[in-house]
Amino acid sequence: MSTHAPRQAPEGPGPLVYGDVSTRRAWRQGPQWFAEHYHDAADQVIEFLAGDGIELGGKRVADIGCGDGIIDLGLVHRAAPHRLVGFDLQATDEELLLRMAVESGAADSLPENLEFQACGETELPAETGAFDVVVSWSAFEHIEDPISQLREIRRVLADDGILFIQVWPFYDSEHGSHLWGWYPEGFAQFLHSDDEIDAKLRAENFGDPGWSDRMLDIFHTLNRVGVDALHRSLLAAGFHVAKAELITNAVHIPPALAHIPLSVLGIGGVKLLARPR
Amino acid sequence: MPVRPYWAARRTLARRLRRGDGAFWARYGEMAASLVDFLQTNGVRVDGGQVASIGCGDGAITVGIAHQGSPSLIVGFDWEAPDADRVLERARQAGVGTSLPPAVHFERFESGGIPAAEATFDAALVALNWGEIEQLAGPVAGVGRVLRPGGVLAVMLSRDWPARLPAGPAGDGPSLEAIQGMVLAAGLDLVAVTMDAPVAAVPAGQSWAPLATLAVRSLAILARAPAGRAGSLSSDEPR
Repeated sequence: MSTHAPRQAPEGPGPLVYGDVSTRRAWRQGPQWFAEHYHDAADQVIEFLAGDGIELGGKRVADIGCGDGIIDLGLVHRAAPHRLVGFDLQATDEELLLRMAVESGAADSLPENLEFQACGETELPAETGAFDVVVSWSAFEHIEDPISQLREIRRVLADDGILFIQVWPFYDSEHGSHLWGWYPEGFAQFLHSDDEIDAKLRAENFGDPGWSDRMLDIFHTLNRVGVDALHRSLLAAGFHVAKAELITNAVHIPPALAHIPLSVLGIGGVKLLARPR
Repeated sequence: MPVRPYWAARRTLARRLRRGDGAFWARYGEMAASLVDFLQTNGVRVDGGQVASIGCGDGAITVGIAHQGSPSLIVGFDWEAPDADRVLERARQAGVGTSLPPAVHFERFESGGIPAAEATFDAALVALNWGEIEQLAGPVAGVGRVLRPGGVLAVMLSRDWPARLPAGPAGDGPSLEAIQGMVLAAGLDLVAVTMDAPVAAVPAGQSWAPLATLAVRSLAILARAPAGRAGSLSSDEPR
């Protein structure tokens, strides 16, 4: 699957086999999706670490929940790590990644120091202490057992290593359902029953029934972890948070949700840096 | 009455005001403008309305709201009524007026609450350093009584106010949920919330503290009195 040899762009547009949701989104949203991750997300990771004098150059880096791999390509191009391994439940579609990179003018081959591997829910196929830096972008809300996953991350991270996590959106926040395409007003997870949501997505599938099915699967398997639960999970897994930036925006609160804590309603996500205790 | 940190902070602020180090501008300008902007962002205007400025301190914020929001009446309330002559003196020195706007009045809280008749105000506005809100829990609890149906309460708290004073320690003061509880206990409906949370270093000794409280530097809440009848504030929002 993964190789250290440069991978060349496939010829012709050929049929695409859709994998995980980010790959599907990438195909649906095209250049914008690529740019948001290749440029914006990768830059945010680099800048957040740089704020604490941490560089990825020459480091052994892992990305947990790498999805389509676009961020990883951006990180490799910008930060020149010694090695970057992207892990996900489904190994990244490298052919599609390369095609998007070529179409965007970002690359005509994938770098030798970028590789992708499939992993388990709570098992990473890596040696203990194999990585200097572990990053994760918009993945932890999908992880069924965050504490076990964080303990596994702690295992593969060097004792003086760094963990960067970005999560958006937390389930209980405005767009935590991930269904903003159907519910742009937000809080669908509280204001509508599961049956109502299922029916709406199946009725409005934007010409792609598989997309609705995939998003429903995502919605029904999201964890309920918010910022403080994530923090406690990190503590339980042997980390301490050294720096945090909450992702917030102005939120209009439906009357039925006034009893839900503000820290849940108003904090959509977080970027944080953690170190092993 | 025992001396509380609140009063100590007030004395510190008063000393700095006397030194003329810019705290007037922090309250008259930044804090008042933040309140008015927050209201307008949420479709609420106070021009022509009757406003309570809760926890008005030295009165500078009340004058600032009067200048920037143009209410027909604004009453600044605090545990000690501000010295109107001193506020005017500071305003003159700052070049923002030679007389207090006729809409401005000051009163002190009585019996731990707001001395006003039921349904007097269209809006109650609070802008404070985060840790000060606990000292206003009593008056805030009574806001629902003095607001007209459909009237609004805006609460803005920051750990960085007033400008040029040392920022409050991370995580100091009541939690987000405690502040939410104060608003709900006043009998008001939450309408909107905005938080500002810049990158925050987590002190080694506070690695256990909830991030939601530790990392939020400022908070704005808009709440509305249940609308038995329409209030008089202009609003883009359905009541």
